[in-house]
Amino acid sequence: MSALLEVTGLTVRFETKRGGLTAAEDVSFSVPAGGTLGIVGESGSGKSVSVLSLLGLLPGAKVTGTASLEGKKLIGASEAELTKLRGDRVAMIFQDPMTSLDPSWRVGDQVAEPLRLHRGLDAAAARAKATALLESVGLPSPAELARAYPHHLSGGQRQRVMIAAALACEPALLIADEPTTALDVTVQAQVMELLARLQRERKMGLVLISHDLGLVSEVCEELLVMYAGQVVERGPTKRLLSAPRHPYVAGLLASTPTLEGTGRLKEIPGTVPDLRLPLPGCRFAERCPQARPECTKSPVSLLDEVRCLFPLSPSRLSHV
Amino acid sequence: MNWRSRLGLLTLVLLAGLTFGHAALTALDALPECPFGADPGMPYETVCGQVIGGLWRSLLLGVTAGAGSCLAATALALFARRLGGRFELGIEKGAELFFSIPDLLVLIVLGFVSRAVWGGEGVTLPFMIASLVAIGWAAPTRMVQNRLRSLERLDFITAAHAIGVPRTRVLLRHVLPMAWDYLLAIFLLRVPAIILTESTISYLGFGLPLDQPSLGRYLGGHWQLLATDDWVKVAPAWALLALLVVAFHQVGRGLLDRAEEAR
Ligand SMILES: Nc1ncnc2c1ncn2[C@@H]1O[C@H](COP(=O)(O)OP(=O)(O)O)[C@@H](O)[C@H]1O
Ligand SMILES: [Mg+2]
Repeated sequence: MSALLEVTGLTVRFETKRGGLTAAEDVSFSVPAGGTLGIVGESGSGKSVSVLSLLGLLPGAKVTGTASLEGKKLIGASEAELTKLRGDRVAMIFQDPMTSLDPSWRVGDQVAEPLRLHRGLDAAAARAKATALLESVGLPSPAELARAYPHHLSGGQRQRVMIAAALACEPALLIADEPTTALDVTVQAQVMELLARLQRERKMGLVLISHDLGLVSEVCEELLVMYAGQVVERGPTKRLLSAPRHPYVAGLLASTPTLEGTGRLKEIPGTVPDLRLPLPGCRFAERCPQARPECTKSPVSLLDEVRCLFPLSPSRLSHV
Repeated sequence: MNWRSRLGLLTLVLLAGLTFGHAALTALDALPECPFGADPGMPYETVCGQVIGGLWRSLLLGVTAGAGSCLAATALALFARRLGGRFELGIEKGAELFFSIPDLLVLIVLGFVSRAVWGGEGVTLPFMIASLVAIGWAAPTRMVQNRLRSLERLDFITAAHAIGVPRTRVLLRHVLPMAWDYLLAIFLLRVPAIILTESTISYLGFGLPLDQPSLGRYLGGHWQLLATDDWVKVAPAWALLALLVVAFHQVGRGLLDRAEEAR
């Protein structure tokens, strides 16, 4: 059986006025039907670029590698083919709900739009379905709300509207790019809960992107950790949390607040390297407490789900 | 809106009122006597009638040619953004090239063509409007193209693509509605530029005929009066032309600033 989403060797390059830049390099992952994958990494590590490029939403980027959704190829597909898939089989929600809704459209019409486009519903039927969707994402008095413009809504309400629009056509895969980062802390938890519930109920595949390892690990079975455009470690959430093998992941864990709130958080010192500069060896070496001279000599490849010459815990166990 | 734009708007309303009021009083045969007397070139016409007629023609050709060139520019810019690639580059380069040709030169040539084909003392009003649209599309095309391009970078446009809205529909239903304020501003700024261009060409005698003058043609036809005791017969036309151009410019400028701030 083939996976819902299968991505192999995804590389995204931008040519800018100040030189070329590889924002994502050799990224591979897969999501089974109904599965959940979390993509974690600091800001600028290439998380957004990795998913936007799959849907053809990065004009001006040179995208290579292979990717397929339910067996249909994504990279190299025509604009028309992708337009048919987007909002129907795969949907996406974005970080900032304040800017992701069209300010000149009524909320209900924005939720109804994918239904009209992909299901061919007429205005009245689409409007009725949109109202039902607004109710299903927990919005109060949905019929009234459908007639409101986005500026009348709070951030949390707008993100719920985005979710309603994304789920309108019951996609097999939902990609959520930092869906709660721009929200208040209390609202964050509610929206995450909603997403997790909808994912379970609809048995929908979910790719959840966040810079917050704690948040992602509560929802996702599998994790993919990115650093400076590369996957540094990949694996089941449980294993990654209990026995991280990449020093960067270990550092992230140490800087993630736990429920018990014990101990001081340790920030990883240093900053992410400039992707415009040549990066010969391990990209984390500069900030790595375990770095050795070999680390900066030649590129490190992803071996046994970890991109490190000297992984932390013994990797013998996972050899097949 | 700042006070300069408000004053400009008020001036435009008064100028429009002047032309309509004059037309209404003429129809009712209740026109008061013109304080500036008769047109020295055409004793059966009053200075008031000539100047207000000229104001009306300048206003009409400015607004219609302005609207025409902005519509053409918007259509071209939308096509360019939709088709992209070499087509977009072609329109961009074409506009740039066209922009570098002097407007007056093209209008003079078009004026000769009109006379050669249809004869007459000058060109007709519709011909003048068409000529002004033909020379005036390049600058607004570039501006609208850049505006659309920057609007397309907004988050909700990416979100529209992400739910499968086709590109043409995204441009027409999501991008264009965000551009109206800007389009209105560049239209209002085109109008005074067009009125000035037409005034210049008609002043020099290559545009509208003397018996159907615009403000520029009236002034050009009576240029020698300026240094005589009869200067009062041309002063109102100079004043109206200046008011018209400055008022449009102020209103357009105010709207443009506001559109720019909104982003
Ligand atoms: N359109 C673009 N043109 C040039 N560089 C870009 C573009 N989009 C993203 N980048 C660069 O790609 C890198 C990864 O960006 P992104 O995927 O947005 O990071 P993340 O989502 O992990 O915060 C960043 O260095 C960013 O500057
Ligand atoms: Mg991002």
